[in-house]
Amino acid sequence: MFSIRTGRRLDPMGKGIDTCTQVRYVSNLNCRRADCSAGARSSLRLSTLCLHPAWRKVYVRREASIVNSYECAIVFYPTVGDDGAKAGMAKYAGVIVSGGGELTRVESWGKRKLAFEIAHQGEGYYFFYKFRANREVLNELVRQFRIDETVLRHLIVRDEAAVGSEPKLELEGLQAVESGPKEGS
Amino acid sequence: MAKGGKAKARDKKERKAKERRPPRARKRKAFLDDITYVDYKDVRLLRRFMTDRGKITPRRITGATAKQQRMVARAVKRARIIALVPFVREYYR
Repeated sequence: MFSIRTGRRLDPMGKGIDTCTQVRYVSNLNCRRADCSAGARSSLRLSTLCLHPAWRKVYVRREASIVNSYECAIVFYPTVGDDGAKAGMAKYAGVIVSGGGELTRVESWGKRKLAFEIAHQGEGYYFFYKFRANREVLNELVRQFRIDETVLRHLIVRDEAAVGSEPKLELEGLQAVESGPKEGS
Repeated sequence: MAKGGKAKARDKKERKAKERRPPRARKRKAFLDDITYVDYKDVRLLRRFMTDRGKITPRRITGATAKQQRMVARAVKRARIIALVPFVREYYR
C-alpha cells in the first residue's frame, strides 16, 4: 500500500494512458480497483497500472465505460436562425443518446449577445445540456462540434452539482427549457 | 570587522521588518457566506468577482475564502470560453 498522486500529464511510457482524477492509493499493484479521492466519485476500475520510474507515480488507465455526469454548452452561429438552432440542439441530443448517454436536461437561452466578438459574430444561440455518458460519447460530441460549421463555441465540463439520479429525458418531442442567465443573487 | 558587518545586516533586516505593511483586516461580507458552489452560467454572480475590465478580482478585495476564490476563478474561465463574460474589455476613447 502506498500513496500516489497522479499528475495531469500523459505517461511517456505507454500509449492510451489517460489522465485521471486523483487516485489516493492503490492497495496492491496488481489490484483492479483504486480508491478515488475526488469527492464522492466512486472508485475507479483499473485496467492498467504502471509505475513510472522517474516520477514514482502510478498512472491509471480509465476505462472508457465509466459513466459520469456532464454539462455541455453550445453556442450556435446567429446566422442559423431560430429553427436552425433548434435543429442543431436536436442533433446533438441525438448524438448523446445514440452513443448510450442519458440526457437529463436541455436548456435554451435563445439568442444572446456575446461578451466579445467571435468570428465577426456579435450574437449566438446558447444551449445547455446535462447528461450522463461515458468518454466515447464525449469524444464523439467534440469531434462533431469541430466539424460542424454552425457551432461557434462549445464547452463540456463535469457537472459537479449532479446527483446522478436525475430522470432521463426521451428524445422524442424533446423540448429545451427556455431560461436565461440566473437573475438575482 | 566581521562583527560589524553582521550587525549591519541585522540592522537592515530589522528595518525591513518595520517597513513591512501590516496585514489588512479582513472585511467580512455577508453575501459570501452562502456561496458554496459557483456556476459558470451565473453571469450576475461572476460579475461581482470581476473588474470592469474583465479581470478576476483578487481575494484580498472581495474577501472570498480560498476555496471560494478557486471556484470563482474556475467558473470565470469557463464562462469566458463560451463568451458569457469578457476576457478583456478595452476602453474606447
